[in-house]
This record gives sequence, C-alpha cells and structure tokens, in this order.
Amino acid sequence: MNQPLSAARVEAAFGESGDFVARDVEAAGFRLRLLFVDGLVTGGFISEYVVRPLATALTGGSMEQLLERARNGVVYNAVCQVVEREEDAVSKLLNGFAVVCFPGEPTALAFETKTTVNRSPAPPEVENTVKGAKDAFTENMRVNTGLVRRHMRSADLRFTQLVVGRQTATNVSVAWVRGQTDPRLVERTVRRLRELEIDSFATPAAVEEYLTGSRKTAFPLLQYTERTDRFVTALLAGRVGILVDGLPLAYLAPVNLGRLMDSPEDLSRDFVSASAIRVLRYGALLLTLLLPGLYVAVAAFHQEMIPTALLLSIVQSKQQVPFPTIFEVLFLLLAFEILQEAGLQLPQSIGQTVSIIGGLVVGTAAVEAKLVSPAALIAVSVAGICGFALPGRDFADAVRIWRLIAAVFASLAGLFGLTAAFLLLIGHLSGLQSYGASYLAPFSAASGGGAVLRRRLVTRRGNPEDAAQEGLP
Amino acid sequence: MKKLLVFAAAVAAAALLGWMPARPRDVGRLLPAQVLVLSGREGDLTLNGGKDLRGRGATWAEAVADLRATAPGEAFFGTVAHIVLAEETAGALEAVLQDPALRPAARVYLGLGEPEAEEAAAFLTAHRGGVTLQDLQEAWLEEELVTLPRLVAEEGRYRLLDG
Repeated sequence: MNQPLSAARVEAAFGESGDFVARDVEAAGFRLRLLFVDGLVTGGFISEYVVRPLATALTGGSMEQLLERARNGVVYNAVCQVVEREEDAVSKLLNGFAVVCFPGEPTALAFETKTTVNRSPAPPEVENTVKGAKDAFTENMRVNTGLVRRHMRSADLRFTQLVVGRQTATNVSVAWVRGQTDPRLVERTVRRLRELEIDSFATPAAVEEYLTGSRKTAFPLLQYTERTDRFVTALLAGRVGILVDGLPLAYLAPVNLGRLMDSPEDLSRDFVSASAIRVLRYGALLLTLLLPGLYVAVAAFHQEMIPTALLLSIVQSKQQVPFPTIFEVLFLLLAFEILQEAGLQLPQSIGQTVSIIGGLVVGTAAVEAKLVSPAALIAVSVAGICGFALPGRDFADAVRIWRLIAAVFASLAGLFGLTAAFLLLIGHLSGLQSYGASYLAPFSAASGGGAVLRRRLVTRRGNPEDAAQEGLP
Repeated sequence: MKKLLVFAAAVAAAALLGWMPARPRDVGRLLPAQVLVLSGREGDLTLNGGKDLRGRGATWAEAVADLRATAPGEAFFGTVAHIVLAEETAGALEAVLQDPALRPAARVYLGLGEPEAEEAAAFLTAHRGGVTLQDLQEAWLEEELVTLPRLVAEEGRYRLLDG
C-alpha cells in the first residue's frame, strides 16, 4: 500500500463496505473527493466545517492553490493534517477524520471530525472510594488522555502514541512524566509495543500478556486501574502508564506485591487509619491464603493443636458427615468459585439474588444434610470473605488458585505440607519481575519500609506514592 | 509446566502408595478423652476414658491397647487433661509417665472411692490439681517424692484434697 495518494485506491481499500462514504464536492469549479467512514464521524461537523467552507469559501485557480488555501485555514477545522500516503489516509479515515482528496495532487488533507458519541466518564465500578474522584476511564483513549491532563496540568506529562495490531489498529498511548519516569522504562515499553506483530490488541488479556511476555504465573505483572487520580499518582511515582483505545482502564508498570495490596482508599484517609486498614488487609491476605489449608492440617493431622472445647465441638459437628475433611474443604472451595463465576456471568439484576440464594442454600442445606460440617464451612467462608478484601481482582484470582494448592498440600502432609506450599509461593513470588523490578521489592530492607504502614505524606518529599518501593534496578 | 506436572504426579504417587511421612486421621473419627481413670481389680487394670472408651489389661500398655482396639472410633489422648490413678494402680505409674501419647501438662490425681471419668471431667475442669505429668517425670528422674492431690468420689460427688 506504499504508493502515492489516490482517491480511487483509498476507496478500493475499503471495498464495498457499507459504512464507507465517498462523494464529490465542488469547490471553485474544481471537483474534490470527500471520503469518510460513517459512524466514526459527526455528519454535522463534516457538513458545517468541511463541506460548507469547501463549497462556499475555497477559491483558487488550480488544485494546488485550493489545497494550499484549504490547508491554511479556509476550511476552518481545528485539526488539519497533510496526508501523503495511502495507508496514512486509511488510518486517518479509521480514526474519525474526513479526508479530502485533490485529484492530481500527491497529497490530501485530513480534517478531524470525530463523533462525539462516547460514554461519559462515570464513577469507577470496582475501585470505589468515598472521598476520591468519580471520573473513571472510558473506552475512548483521547477522552482518557484528557482526563489525565485534568488531574495533572503539567507540560511534563507526555504521551507517546502508537498503533498496535494489524487488524485492530488499536491506538495506544504510553504516558510518562519528563524528569520523573525513567527513560529506559519508557523506551522499553514503547519498543515492546512497536515490536508486536499481532492481529489484535483489543482485549485486556492481549495487552497484559503481550506487554509482560506472558510469564507462567497467575500473578499480574501489570497493574490496571479505572481511576484517573490513581493513574496520575502512579505516574508521579515514576511508573509508566499505558492507555489503550477501547479499554475503559489504564495500565501501570512496573508492579509489585506492595502496589497490588494498595487500595485507592488509602490515600483518602489519614495515615493512621490507612496503616491500620493495610495491616488488616495483609492479615486478610494471609487468612484467605492459608486458612483452608490450616483447617485441613489441624483437623486431619494435628488435632492436638486444637483447644479441647473446640475439638469436641468440631468432632460433634462432624458426626455423620461421610466425607473426610479434605473433600469437604475442596468441595466448598470449588462451590465458592462456581458461585462467584455464576455471579459474574448472570445479569446484574438477578446475579446478586442468585448468589445470595446459592450461598445460603448450598451452605445451609449442605450442613443440614450432613454433607459438610459447619466448621469447614466457616473456615472456607471466612477465607472467601477475606479474599474479597484484597484490592486487585487479578491478584485475588491468583491467591485463590494458590489457596487451593495450599489446601491440597496440607491434606498430604499437614502443617509441613502447608509450610512447603507457602515457601513455594514465596519462592515463586521472589522470582517474579515486572519490567526488571522485583515483585517483592517493597519488603526488602533496601526499600526502607512503607510497604505495609502508609507513611505520612509530609515525609514523602511531596511524592504521594513511595517511589522507593518500586525496586527498580 | 512439564516439571510441575512431573512433580505433582510424583507427589500423588507417593500419597497413594502411603509413602508420605504423616498419615492423616480425620477429626470426625476421633473419640477425644478428657479424663483417664485407671483402677485395678484382681491384678487387672481397667482404664476408663468416658463414653465408650474402656480397656483392660495386666499393664498400662495392654489396657491402652485394649481401649484403642475396642473403641468405636479412634481414641485420642491428645485432649487428656486429667489422669486419675487408683491406689492399687501405683505400680503402673512409671508406664504412665513414659507414655508419649499423654500431654506433659495433664494433671495427675490419686483416686479414692470409684471416680467415673465422665462425671469427674466437669469437676476437674473447674477444680484442677497442682501436679502435672511433667512434674512427676522430673521428680521421677531426680528421685524425689511427690504427693498427689486426692480426688475423692462419694455418692456421685467429688472433692479435691491437696497433698
């Protein structure tokens, strides 16, 4: 497609596509060719700001003069770009531009006439806060860059724009802050995006796997956020951001365990409350990961660790339950996962009801039918609820997988097995890297703390996030 | 991934073949005993753990083995908090001290009358004696004399007399 511009060839590129529009416009006695893709443009803008000035205001004795005058403002459009190649013209058309071809001239003009039909910024669906901003990212990348600019009115905020995906031609912006972001991080991200030879970059999975290299781990190596304030805060901490057209979220890199355990609510509270909640959150992480396995270990191997009164109660509650403890726990863990998945797939109007009923029915009926014991149900339920306290869904999903693994290990060798599973997890996490930064960096002595307890902002030298936690090489 | 699958298969095989170091015993099958009462008659020892836990034998070990063999589940001594020895069973004390299944913190008493394990459990939970198995083990090693608290059973009522 690398040929001089020709309206006929641009039209041929779109074939018989029903949304592609090509028409003639007469200007100063010359016939120009107007091209646009219906649905991506606003018809009124084209009529008012392209066709009308072309037809009524544009004058000249030659095509060259017409083109020159149109480019210099006779066609009063905020954005006017000269297009020299056919593929550039196609790209502009696909991005909501109207392209005017001047027959005989090697260049054309592209005027921005993008449609204004977009979803308005709405409150975040997942990362809700009481006091924080309520303008979450939308599917339109340009709207998103505008939202970011509103939160950070600095010329040092830069966006490096690329197109990724042979078929989807997805617009991607890499956001960084001059003087704050490590240029190597930006270069690495941009280079990785440029080197992608793929058809589609339209789904979150594509973004995450292609950008991180698809490491064999359930733990996220890229953090996503719906919140513009959180995005800006992360940029100011030296991280690089990625905005993808079509996805109502933004990505941040690098990421580590400390970052994934941060909640946007932490910066909405005073440091004492935030620190207390963080400690609770880390406790919830340990509980959700280890409680089912711990229950299996003590119930099947180390009963002497259970206080006598509790043991008697558990023994009594397990009377007539035909299944061993490990099967009870595994059954309940799987039932919990299925309920969650069902809740996601069902429409919101009935999803909540079904989840509640399913939980109550499964829980109550299973206990009354002596299929599971109340103690096992409580252990798994508490672990499940603690899992909901984790801020990142991707991270919580990974923890759920390891929870199952820990329970299986505990069923094989009691506390020894549980400890082995935990050490395996620590070993796995310590081997993970996100953009060269260690996953467990915030917990190293070199990080200087701040991973669990939130520091006071006045001690952070103006940075709302602790850049020292990044553990960048 | 291949290494992971091989490792998982090896662990599964070890578990199925019973090669794992620890054997599970489900908590539902346990019959936890809180009080053990050892009495003697005509040279035979009777060990009573309450509920359906009863065993007989010439020695402590035989009585325990008989109790475990005849229990309708798995007798669990990890919850034994009190051990009552009748006067005539003093000769079994050494065997009791050396039994690894009993917790060192379990308290030991001299039983007078005919204490019943289940009835004595509630009383002893509220009125605990001061001599533990560990105290006796230390005294045994150092050849010291220890006076056991006496648990007196009279018509279904209990009293604890120190020393």
